[in-house]
Amino acid sequence: MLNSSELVETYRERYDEMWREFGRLEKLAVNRLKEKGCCVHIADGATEAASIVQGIVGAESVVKSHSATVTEININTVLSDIRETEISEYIAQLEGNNAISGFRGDVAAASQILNERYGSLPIKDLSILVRQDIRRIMTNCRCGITGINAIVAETGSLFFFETQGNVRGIANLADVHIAVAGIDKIVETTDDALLVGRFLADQCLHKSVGNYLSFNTGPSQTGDVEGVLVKGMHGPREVHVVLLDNGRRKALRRRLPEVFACMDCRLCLNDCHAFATSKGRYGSPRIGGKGALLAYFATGDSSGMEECSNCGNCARTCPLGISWPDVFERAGQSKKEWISMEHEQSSKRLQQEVMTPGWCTSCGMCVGICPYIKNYKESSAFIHQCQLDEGNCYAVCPRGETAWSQMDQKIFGRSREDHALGNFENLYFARATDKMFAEKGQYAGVTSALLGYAINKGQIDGAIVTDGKPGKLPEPKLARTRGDLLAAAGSKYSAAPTLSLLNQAAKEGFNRLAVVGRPCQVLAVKKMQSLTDKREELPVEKVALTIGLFCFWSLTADFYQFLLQKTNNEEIQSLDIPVDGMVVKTNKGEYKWPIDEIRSFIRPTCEQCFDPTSEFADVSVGATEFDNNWNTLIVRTDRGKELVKNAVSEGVLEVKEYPHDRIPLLRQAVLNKKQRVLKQTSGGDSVPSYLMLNEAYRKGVLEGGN
Amino acid sequence: MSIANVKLEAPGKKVMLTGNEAVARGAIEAGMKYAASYPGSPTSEVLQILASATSQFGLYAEWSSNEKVASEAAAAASFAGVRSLTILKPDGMNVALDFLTSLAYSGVNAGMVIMVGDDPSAHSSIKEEDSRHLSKLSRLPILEPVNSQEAKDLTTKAFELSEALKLPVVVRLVTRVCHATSLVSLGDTEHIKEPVKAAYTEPILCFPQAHPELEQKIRKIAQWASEQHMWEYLGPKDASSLVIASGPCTLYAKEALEVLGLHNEVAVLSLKMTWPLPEDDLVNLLKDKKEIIFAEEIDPFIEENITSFAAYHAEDLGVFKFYGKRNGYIKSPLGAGIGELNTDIMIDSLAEIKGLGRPDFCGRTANCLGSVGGSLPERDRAFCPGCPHRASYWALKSALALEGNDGFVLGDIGCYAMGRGRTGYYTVKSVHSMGSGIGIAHGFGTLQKFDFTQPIIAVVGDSTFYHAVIPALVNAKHNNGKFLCVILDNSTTAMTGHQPHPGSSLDARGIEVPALNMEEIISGLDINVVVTDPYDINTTRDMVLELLPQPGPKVLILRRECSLVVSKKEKPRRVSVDQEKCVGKDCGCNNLCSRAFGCPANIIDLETGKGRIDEALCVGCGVCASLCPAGAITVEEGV
Ligand SMILES: Cc1cc2nc3c(=O)[nH]c(=O)nc-3n(C[C@H](O)[C@H](O)[C@H](O)COP(=O)(O)OP(=O)(O)OC[C@H]3O[C@@H](n4cnc5c(N)ncnc54)[C@H](O)[C@@H]3O)c2cc1C
Ligand code: SF4
Ligand code: SF4
Ligand code: SF4
Repeated sequence: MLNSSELVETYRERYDEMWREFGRLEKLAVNRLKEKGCCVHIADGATEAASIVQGIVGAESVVKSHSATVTEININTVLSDIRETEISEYIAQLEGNNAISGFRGDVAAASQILNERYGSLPIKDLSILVRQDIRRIMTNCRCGITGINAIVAETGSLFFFETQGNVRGIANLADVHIAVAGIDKIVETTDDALLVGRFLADQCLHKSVGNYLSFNTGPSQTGDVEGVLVKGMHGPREVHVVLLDNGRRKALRRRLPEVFACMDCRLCLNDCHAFATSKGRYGSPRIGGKGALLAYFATGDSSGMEECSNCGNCARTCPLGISWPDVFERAGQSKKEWISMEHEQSSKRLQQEVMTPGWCTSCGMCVGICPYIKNYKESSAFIHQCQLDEGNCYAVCPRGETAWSQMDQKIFGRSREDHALGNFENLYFARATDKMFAEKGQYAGVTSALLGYAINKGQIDGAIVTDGKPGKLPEPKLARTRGDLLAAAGSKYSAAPTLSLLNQAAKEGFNRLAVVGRPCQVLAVKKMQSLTDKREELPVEKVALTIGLFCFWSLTADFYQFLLQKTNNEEIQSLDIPVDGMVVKTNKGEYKWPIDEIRSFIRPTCEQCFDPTSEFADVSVGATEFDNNWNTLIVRTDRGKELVKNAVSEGVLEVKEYPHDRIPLLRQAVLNKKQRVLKQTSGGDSVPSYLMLNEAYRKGVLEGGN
Repeated sequence: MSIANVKLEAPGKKVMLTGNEAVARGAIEAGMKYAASYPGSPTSEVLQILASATSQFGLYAEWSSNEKVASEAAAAASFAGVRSLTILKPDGMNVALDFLTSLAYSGVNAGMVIMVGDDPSAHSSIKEEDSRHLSKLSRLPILEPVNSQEAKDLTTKAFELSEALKLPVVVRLVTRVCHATSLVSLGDTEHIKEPVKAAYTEPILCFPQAHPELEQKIRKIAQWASEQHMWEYLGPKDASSLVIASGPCTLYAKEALEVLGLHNEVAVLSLKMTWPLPEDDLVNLLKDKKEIIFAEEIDPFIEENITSFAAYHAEDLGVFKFYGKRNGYIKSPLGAGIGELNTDIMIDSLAEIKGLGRPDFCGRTANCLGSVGGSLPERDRAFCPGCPHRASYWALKSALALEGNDGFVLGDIGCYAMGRGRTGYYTVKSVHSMGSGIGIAHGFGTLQKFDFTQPIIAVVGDSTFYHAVIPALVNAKHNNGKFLCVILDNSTTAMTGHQPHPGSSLDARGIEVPALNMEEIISGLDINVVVTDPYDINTTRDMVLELLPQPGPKVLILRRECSLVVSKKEKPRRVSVDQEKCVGKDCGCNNLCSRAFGCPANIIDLETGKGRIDEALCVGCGVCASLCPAGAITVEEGV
């Protein structure tokens, strides 16, 4: 059995995975709940939720258990006769006090109140009378309201955790059971729900298990007698699930998953300054830091957040270490406009988060997988509005949200130590022994030579490369022979949508394709291969090798216009970008421009690019910035290792140790770029949301690597 | 409906004719020999019929390049002593108006009639315009027939009146009269057989000094209307309530009164001439009335004229209680002055006015439709299967999306105006009048000074090109407006029923004529012009993207024959879907060809959920095959 701290860790990890997939889980949960016969009501705000409940209950009396979410929607303002069943709330109600946090006096005070009603009796006898009374009202009321501790998306079950048994009582005795929960209560599996239960038991009760754990799935029904379906056999005839947003989605969009992770144990309130000074009203109607934050997102009212005195005690008492002052600060930092709430819609997200702001890298991945997306002169756009709720275009886009550590986990099965170069096995200087490759290749022809080798060995049946005459808009090409490879060798410094060809080639029957791409393209391929919810027609299994190029930026298609003018329409033979600028050779001579002159053609998205060395490729190939007869070769995966090993042993490739004194230079160049992006992230306004780095990765880069 | 009936030489015979046919017949009986028009619903058929009768009756008939030219040509014939007719739709009358207002001043010689077809409810128009205002504005008398018989009779009368007054006369029909068929008793065709010798003897000028004479003529018309009995009084003489109606509203009112059992209480005055009013008669007719109810289509035109007349005669006539559109008593479901009237509407209106309950009359149109089998599914208007416009819009919207600078398309009226709806992917953002898109585009194209950078495309039809686009192109060239003009050239005036235009090689009579070449005209203006095939979507799209950034005006002609014309020929190709390859639900966001591209011949096979071709509809264009991402659609040649 997991001990306390293991439980916390497991819970934390699981939540971190689940909130990222919230869109999918929510949809699944709603569908399952409906399938199981529940009425699902989705409420944007508290008032809406309250009126939904009112609509179901009408003017009747209603029994209620304790629930922070039911309190959050101010249910007492719409229902005329609420009967509390949780004992402290029951007493508070007898006291004539609807204090939202229940009865807060001591035993003596409680006995006094009870004595007033039941006569002066010992506590033991009083408890019997109270129990009888509560049971009576529970059986007499048609409707009952409870909260929910977890909603299991996979099964459509509602999970309840309690010590007194009144929740279970209501959930079984009421004819109509209304369960109210924030959308943050959705978990994926029954195991996740039990994890919540164990976590609560451990933290709040210091026990290994809670007194009552219930899973209710749909209304009560039986078909035992002659197969005739009877609803409401023993338990409720109707189950209503009210799913409340009230600011939660916005919090999620702002990357404040604390709202989802917090499971309302209320331990943070024990030492909370603001809670004490406000006499238990801090954050109301939903008490505490979570309430204050939700009030802000739901209505823009920041007064709750302002009440926080910054004592920081919550972070010490919260088992998850959630520090509300810290969360408030991040909530207040408006880095950029919020993106539409309908983020479940893949195409809308791609449009809104990538295409419209101009972050498309023109990798071509989405173009290949969707007939509505086309690329013209190296920019991709939707030509038709997609009506699907789900889709893959966003998930495969290198500028869609990308959790760097998860990519490492998925590709390498571990996180990284080197925050400059990422995960790798070996670092070499390398060159092709085939003179033609060495000559036609951009530097030493390593990329082309490796492809040629893989084709010869039958390891791949084709390679997706980027072809084109220097100085002209390049285009994707499927290379199958040495001749094809030679024709496509050499770097094209703009962003050809190479991957648009990948899907087509796969459809045409190519099964083992190699892809050569800029780092953004490698990322796209790897994101596609590591999708959790894979669609059949994606070429997931058809990519046998990825060779990534180094890339610090690429140019827009307008650059070719510039080139044409600057070279007086001469025939361009080669382009190179050594450290100090751009060198263009034409049939008539050579032109050189300092980098500054072409800077305006750099794709804006490249300024946001966090990966100059194709960190997720099998091997990465770049210049040496030192000796153009060699390439830098980074071998990353097992697949890459095997390929390079064999290519070397068969004499296709020549490798030598990377000069030790140059490694710091390479690492620094990469870190400089990464740090530039991060520095933009903490201050600027225009940073795309795609980059999701955990603290370790962020620190790793900012603090300089290893 | 029978064009042959129009041409019958059998006086006294009763035949079925539509209102349009009856007008043509009336013109023939009146000896009209010269007709000119530009096609437009609901009156396009009239010139078509006359053109087919040119040799039989020695007529001249032409499709002119626009309505102004048509009216001018018809006026010339009248000047030369030849009775003439021009046929317009209200939008067309707007185009001709500049000339018509002057023509009223100058007057004419031989009888000249202007037939206008108004379209209440805008069944085939982009707006509900009441042309009577335009006639009144031009000071031209208006006759309004109730049915086909009257359409013929009033047309003949209009020629007489025009010739007597030397003023053009307007015959105004509404769609229901133009298209409905009823019995007509034919007159003789002797008059048209008399030879005429055209000659221009007296100068006919327009000058301001003619105004008094014109007003004089108008007073004479009122007198003539009394003499000629240009109204009909139906129902009890002593009724204190009177419905004043024109056109088919007379019939709606009569029927409604009968249904409500009010026909012995309420009388109907049907006006055959609605402007100017037969004022002398009216004073008598309205004498003992207390309530006046108006039934007319589109605007409260008669209503306004009668109420103003009544105000002038309040001393003799007393004060009436009026019920009309202005005070909201006569209203269609969408409101007063909007949409057609019908018997149901008149029943409801009269019941309200008379304080009767709304009768649950079983013969109500709505009830009848209901009993036929419930309401029909709602369907969007759509381009025909294989329509080149669909492919054109797919290419245009793709180009603009890829261009990425919020470019937009301005359109005008024609089939391609449907580009503003789903069938054209909501591509077209403005539709006003013929050729207006290009003028607007030019306007946008000269806004650079104010930081305007969005790319602009104007779409026009080929017939529209000759109608209204050439002057706009001249202007754009001269003032350097930056935009792309896309001519959707389907080689015919498709919207109104495939009439020829100056680019066609046949004229209205079916006689071969040299076809104009629009590329040459445009090149002659020194404007860059390119032709592509809209079925070739990628080439078209890339060409649009290439042309857009070029300075000044540019023209792209997308040339493909109208698929309705093609569908009448042998199908050249057979298109089919390989359902093994089709990815159905996973195609785009579900069946791209049928749901996104939306050709009616691309359907979903309900059993397999995959794409299929409706062979009865498919014209074999093969455009869907070029869009199918799965390569599942194949085109077999020569099947
Ligand atoms: C836009 C761009 C920017 C780059 N920036 C840097 C840099 O800053 N620092 C650095 O060390 N290296 C950079 N490189 C990588 C470098 O230019 C060489 O491509 C790399 O070193 C491989 O050399 P090689 O001799 O093996 O090439 P080759 O054997 O010639 O193989 C190059 C391969 O790259 C493909 N290719 C060419 N252009 C593109 C493109 N635009 N997109 C995708 N694939 C393409 C070709 O089809 C060919 O298969 C960049 C490359 C590109 C395309
Ligand atoms: S970056 Fe790639 S996947 Fe993303 S929008 Fe651009 S082309 Fe599509
Ligand atoms: S810098 Fe990054 S985003 Fe730009 S082309 Fe290179 S890999 Fe792609
Ligand atoms: S476009 Fe092709 S793949 Fe898509 S539904 Fe139609 S036939 Fe099937």
